[in-house]
Amino acid sequence: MKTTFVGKMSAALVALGLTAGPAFADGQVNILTWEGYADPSFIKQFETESGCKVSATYVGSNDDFAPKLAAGGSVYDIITPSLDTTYTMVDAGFVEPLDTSKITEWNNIYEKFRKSAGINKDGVTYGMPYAWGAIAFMYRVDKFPTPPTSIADLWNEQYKGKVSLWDDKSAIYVAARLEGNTNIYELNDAQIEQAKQKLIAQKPLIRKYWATAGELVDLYVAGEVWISNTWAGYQSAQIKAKGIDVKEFIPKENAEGWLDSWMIVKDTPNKDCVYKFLNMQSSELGQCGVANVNGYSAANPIAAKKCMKPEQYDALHQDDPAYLDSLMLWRNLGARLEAYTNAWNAVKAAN
Amino acid sequence: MKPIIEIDHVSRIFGGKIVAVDDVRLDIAEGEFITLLGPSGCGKTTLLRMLAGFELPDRGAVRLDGKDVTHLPPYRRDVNMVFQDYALFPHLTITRNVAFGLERLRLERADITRKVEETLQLVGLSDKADRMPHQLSGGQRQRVALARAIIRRPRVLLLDEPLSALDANLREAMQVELKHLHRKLGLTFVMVTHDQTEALVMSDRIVVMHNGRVAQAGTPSELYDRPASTYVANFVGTSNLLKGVVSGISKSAVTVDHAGFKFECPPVRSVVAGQHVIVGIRPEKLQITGLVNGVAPPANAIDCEVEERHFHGNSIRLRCRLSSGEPLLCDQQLGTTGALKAAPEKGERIRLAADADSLALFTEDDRA
Amino acid sequence: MKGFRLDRLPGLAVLSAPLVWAVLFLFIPYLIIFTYSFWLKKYPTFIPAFQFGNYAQIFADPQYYQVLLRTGKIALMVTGLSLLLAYPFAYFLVFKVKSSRVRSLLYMAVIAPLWVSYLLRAYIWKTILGSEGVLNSFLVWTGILSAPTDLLLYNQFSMVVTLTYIFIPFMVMPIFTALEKIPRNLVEAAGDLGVPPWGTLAKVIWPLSLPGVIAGATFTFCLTFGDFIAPMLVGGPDGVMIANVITSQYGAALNWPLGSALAVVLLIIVLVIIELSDRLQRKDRIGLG
Ligand SMILES: Nc1ncnc2c1ncn2[C@@H]1O[C@H](COP(=O)(O)OP(=O)(O)OP(=O)(O)O)[C@@H](O)[C@H]1O
Ligand SMILES: [Mg+2]
Repeated sequence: MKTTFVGKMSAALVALGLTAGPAFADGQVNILTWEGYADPSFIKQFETESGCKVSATYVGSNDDFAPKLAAGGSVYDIITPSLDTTYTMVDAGFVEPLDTSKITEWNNIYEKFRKSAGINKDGVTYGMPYAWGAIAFMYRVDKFPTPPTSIADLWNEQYKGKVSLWDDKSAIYVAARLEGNTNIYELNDAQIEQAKQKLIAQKPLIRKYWATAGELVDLYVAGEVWISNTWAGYQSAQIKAKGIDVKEFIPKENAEGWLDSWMIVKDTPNKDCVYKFLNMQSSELGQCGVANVNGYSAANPIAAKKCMKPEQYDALHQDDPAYLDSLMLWRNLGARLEAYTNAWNAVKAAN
Repeated sequence: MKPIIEIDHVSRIFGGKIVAVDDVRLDIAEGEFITLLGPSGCGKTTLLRMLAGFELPDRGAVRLDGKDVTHLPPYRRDVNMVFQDYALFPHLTITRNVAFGLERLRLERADITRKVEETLQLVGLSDKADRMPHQLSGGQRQRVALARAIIRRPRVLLLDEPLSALDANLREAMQVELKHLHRKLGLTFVMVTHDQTEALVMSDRIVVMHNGRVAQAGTPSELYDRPASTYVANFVGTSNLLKGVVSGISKSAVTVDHAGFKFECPPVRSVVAGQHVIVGIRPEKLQITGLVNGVAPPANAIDCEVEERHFHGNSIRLRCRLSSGEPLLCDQQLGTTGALKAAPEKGERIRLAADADSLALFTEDDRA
Repeated sequence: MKGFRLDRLPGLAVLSAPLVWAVLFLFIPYLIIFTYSFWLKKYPTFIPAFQFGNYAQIFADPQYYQVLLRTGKIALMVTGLSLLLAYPFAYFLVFKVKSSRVRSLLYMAVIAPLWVSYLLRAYIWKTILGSEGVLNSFLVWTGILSAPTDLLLYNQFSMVVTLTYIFIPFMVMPIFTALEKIPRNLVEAAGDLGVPPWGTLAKVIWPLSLPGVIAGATFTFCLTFGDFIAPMLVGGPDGVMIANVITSQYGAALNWPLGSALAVVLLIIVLVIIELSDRLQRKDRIGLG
């Protein structure tokens, strides 16, 4: 009931005109998502076929979903949080159960994803897995005669001022692994403190913490950054397109894995369009759409196989359960989130 | 004696068009109280500002004590100015305002304090030393401005209409004080005014300006009694100006005809017979010799009809009209009781006469 | 008895419009923030409560006053640098430029960037100060540097430069106005009393322009103090300011109560500064009557 109070408060704010959102009407779907997840290359076709107008607002981080939903009721119909955030959405009451029977391709989605704890609560499913990948690492080929293989290379004095790290609690996961702690989603306070100190020690080497995908691309293109972590497949393609040769790698300390799922915002008035949209996104159009635009792997390998060339299918590890298992798939941190974010904030606040 | 200020053919032309000061030549003697007098816009302030150094002459030179200061900045000239609107520093107390000009002289602190006290006493403001300028009346501010300027004992004190913002009574009192101060300090004062009475009362010498030029410079009585032009005659005091024609010229007098009346003027101008001239007569120099009778008027006498009488307290001004239709003013002293009763009534035709000495003769060229 | 007069109504309406506006968009939001600041963070979001834990946390955890101190330091540097640049400029405009056309032209040149988007203006500095930016290319080209330096961008230096560039109009405007208001004959009087130009500047012009300086300093300080965009665009890992921390509490940490408490602290700091500056100005203005 705590959350309804927040909801009411927020609704009051909206009523006062403090926040404004698009007007809702039939035949539309308002999505809060990542850049590339509503790319015109496949959304245009959906719009003409379904008659649903798509308007998208983009987030820079998973942390943007909850505040945006807490701030305004009924502005968004559908969202795409990652696996570390999905459960918070469910617990906070921001999203409603998914009627999987309305999704034709549902059973073609990887079972590991469909059954994942982040989108299921008390036997009810709240999310439709969509795209996945690794938080890989990346470097400029021309600056590294010997390719880096470890997270430790981001702590190498030699690259002082040329290192970047995602401005996210993920930085704690990175530092914890460097410290040899593999239970990165269940760190105790001492381990978090250790990671924090490690990150503070790294600060002089950091050129800038990157906050959005585009920012990291810009940093590489402007020659500011030579090594960083990255959303595998996405930024490297953009950077290469701008003439900078970069290469991704999975360090020996392993990489986190992420999965984005579509979730329906509670009490959306646009349910018709929402399910049409989900069906599109889980079909060939949406699955190859996201793979082509972002370079991410698809959650529905059956659909992906139909529209991908074999090389792409291979490169995206669509037929490689071992790879999927090697990734440290994100998890919801629950009440521990505060400890992680506090530590990360303290790192940024440190001089 | 060498003059303390030499203004040597100085001109100032604003924006290449407005000739504010036009080829002025003037020497000012040490210790003199000199007044620049003229109507608004005639260039008085501009001339004064060139002496202070705020304005650079476009032509000519200014010498102070024989030294060319034409291009010297204000802070290096040994002159001080009393500004028309005082220009007191609003953020400083009276004491600090007055001491302002001493701070760069590297005096002992005690010395400064003593001088400020003395000067404030001189202008009668000892009890206001700690006030701020906005806490003083206009007259008091005026004195602060004065104190601030004289504390440095400059070679020349410049005053731009120092009394114009004061009411009539205060102004008269301050005139006396200024004059007194001048005598006491022995400084050279150059004052700008457009009030002729003020100029006459206070000055050793008056410079009447007209359109940026010097119309006439001289002692008050020279200007009053021997105005060089109708312009000066009208600006300094009041004059009746009667047009006439030269009818006779002798060694001792020039005879001028005006509508049948004859004036025998002192031969101060070279004129020729038949020339059109102007005769100037001060209203108070006209005596009533009686009512008009059949006898033809003698020279320097004129007949007119009284149209109005204005009572001025110690005198009465008669507004008359000549048979030629021209107006004429005549002032009569009311020295004795009953003099007012004896004065001519409205509508009476009277005969007036003036001394030949008091007549002024101008040619048409003097008008400008 | 004074009856209620109908014809007063329009007047009341005129008055009440801004009042309603202020209540709706200032007091109520402030009140909401103030209320939140006593709430409790509890997974998944937060719950109503009345407790001072958030404030206690701000004073107990060094990260908050570290950031507050840094924010104050940067705001001071921006204020100082703006003053250093704006004062001579305004002085030059008011006292040295003779043509009023040239003066208003130069004045507009400084003010005009206010009409350009903040983001765009901040972005310009990225292209100037970057490792392969305009300035580095120039320095390398002229041989002053043998290799591009990293010292120009993504640190506090670049933040101060950018913020100064962005907020300097708010310094120039009040100083310009204050200088313009100084009667010209006071400057002449000082010169007349034997004080050379720099003395006049120190003893007459500077003290009389203080109200403008204080106003300008207050503007730039408070605007900088609450800025969160420059740290994001041109700040480095040591560039986080208090507004960024508030943003992250509302965002990443989903800790609105703590964010609100920080916002209240920020608001109090800014209000105190404005009040101080107001008192200073009032004290200084007495002189001008
Ligand atoms: N800075 C200036 N720029 C242009 N014209 C000026 C300037 N200062 C004065 N003038 C012009 O020069 C002429 C003389 O001005 P000045 O101030 O010397 O007159 P003034 O005799 O002092 O008049 P007033 O009795 O009204 O003070 C006027 O026509 C005035 O308009
Ligand atoms: Mg004048």
